[in-house]
Amino acid sequence: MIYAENTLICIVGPLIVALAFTKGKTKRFIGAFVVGMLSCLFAAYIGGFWELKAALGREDTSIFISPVVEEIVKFIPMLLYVFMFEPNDEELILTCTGLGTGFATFENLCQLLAAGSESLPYILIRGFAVGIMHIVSVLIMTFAFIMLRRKSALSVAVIMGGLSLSTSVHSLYNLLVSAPGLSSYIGYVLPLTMAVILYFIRKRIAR
Amino acid sequence: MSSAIILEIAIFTVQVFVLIPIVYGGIRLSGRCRNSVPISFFIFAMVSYSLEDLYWIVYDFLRPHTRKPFSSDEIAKTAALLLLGACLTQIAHEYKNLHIASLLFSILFIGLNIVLWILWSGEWVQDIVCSPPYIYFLYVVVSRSHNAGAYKKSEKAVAVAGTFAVFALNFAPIFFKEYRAELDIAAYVVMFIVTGLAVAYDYKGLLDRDKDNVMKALYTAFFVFFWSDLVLFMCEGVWYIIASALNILTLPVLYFALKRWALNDIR
Repeated sequence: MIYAENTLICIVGPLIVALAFTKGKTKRFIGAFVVGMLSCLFAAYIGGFWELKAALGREDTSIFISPVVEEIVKFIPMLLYVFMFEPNDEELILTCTGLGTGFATFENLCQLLAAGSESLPYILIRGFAVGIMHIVSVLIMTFAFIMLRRKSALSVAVIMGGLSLSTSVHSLYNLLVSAPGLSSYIGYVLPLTMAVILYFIRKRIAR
Repeated sequence: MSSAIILEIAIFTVQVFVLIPIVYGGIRLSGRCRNSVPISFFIFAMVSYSLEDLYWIVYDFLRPHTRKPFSSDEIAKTAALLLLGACLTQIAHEYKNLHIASLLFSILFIGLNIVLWILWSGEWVQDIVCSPPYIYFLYVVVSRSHNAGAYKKSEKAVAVAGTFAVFALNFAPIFFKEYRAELDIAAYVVMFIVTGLAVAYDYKGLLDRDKDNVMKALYTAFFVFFWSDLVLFMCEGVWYIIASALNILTLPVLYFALKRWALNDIR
């Protein structure tokens, strides 16, 4: 068993101090990174609760419950940020990237503490598949918001639509990697492929 | 893997291949319209729908014959309905006022469906929680079409009679258990006749080149798509495959009806 809260305190300490010495975009990114890590811890609590309540095994929880819980937990701070601070597109992308990165980093950190870091394939999967997946899923929501906000069409339906896109992609990834073989290889390649697609979408949005 | 699962995978794959050009067509259309908000909602709805199908395809491959608990594909379906409802709200924005009769009808109509879903699946929490988007979608379509005077009384009467006949035959086995097998077959036959006629009416509306019927064709497309989606819940086995095929047939009509509306709006 790892002490996730202690790990969080250890990592967050220097970052909070760094906030006092940074400003502008850097400060925003670090703040979002910290919020991402907190979100990861919350998602673990809620996922653990539903695992016991629904009496599902660990694998079933990671396939059916974790994607929904994690995306909603990432989505809430993003929604609050959009409505409270009304950021422009660049600020929103930067903040949400920080949120997803913080989430992915803390999750990977806890997994490494629990499972060890001896296995290079495991490290590559955690770093270049799972980690990127969290950033991709947040950016999917972000780009959906941006595209429809530009058309002054932000509504409950849009918010649900953005959430459902990221949840579906995340669930698809978890389902694909749950079984060994071809499906898991497709799953491992999916986040990086989506990141490349989102990079080109981002360039188009910037234009 | 049983033949039923293989057929299910095949039909979902066909649906994904039908949705891809629809999404592409929607993206091209949104760039040409003055008011591209409804088209954007439509594109997102179709992307959600296709992600739901992809999830089912992967699930059927990896976990055939296992019952799927509540997962993200339910959220994707919910989002698709909300987005399609929002699409129609944007198109028919002049009819914003609350229409009580339409709301009551929608609640009753979906309420009957919820009762059937609960009786068949036993998942009453999930079925109730997932129902508001269905009520919202039906309310938007019914209220907008009613306020627009899109349908004659006779057309409304035929639609209501047909759908409630299907419900009656689905409820009947509960009260007449000894005739369950016969009533099930009768229910399927009537359901597919009603749905088949609805799909045919849908295509007829689309092929009608009268400009005054553009909105009627759009409302019909939304109605028939929604009905074919509800029919999926009432089917299993090979009947589900037939219902899925009918649902797929409604998708291009939805796109082309929207395109006809949008073509009046080209910059």
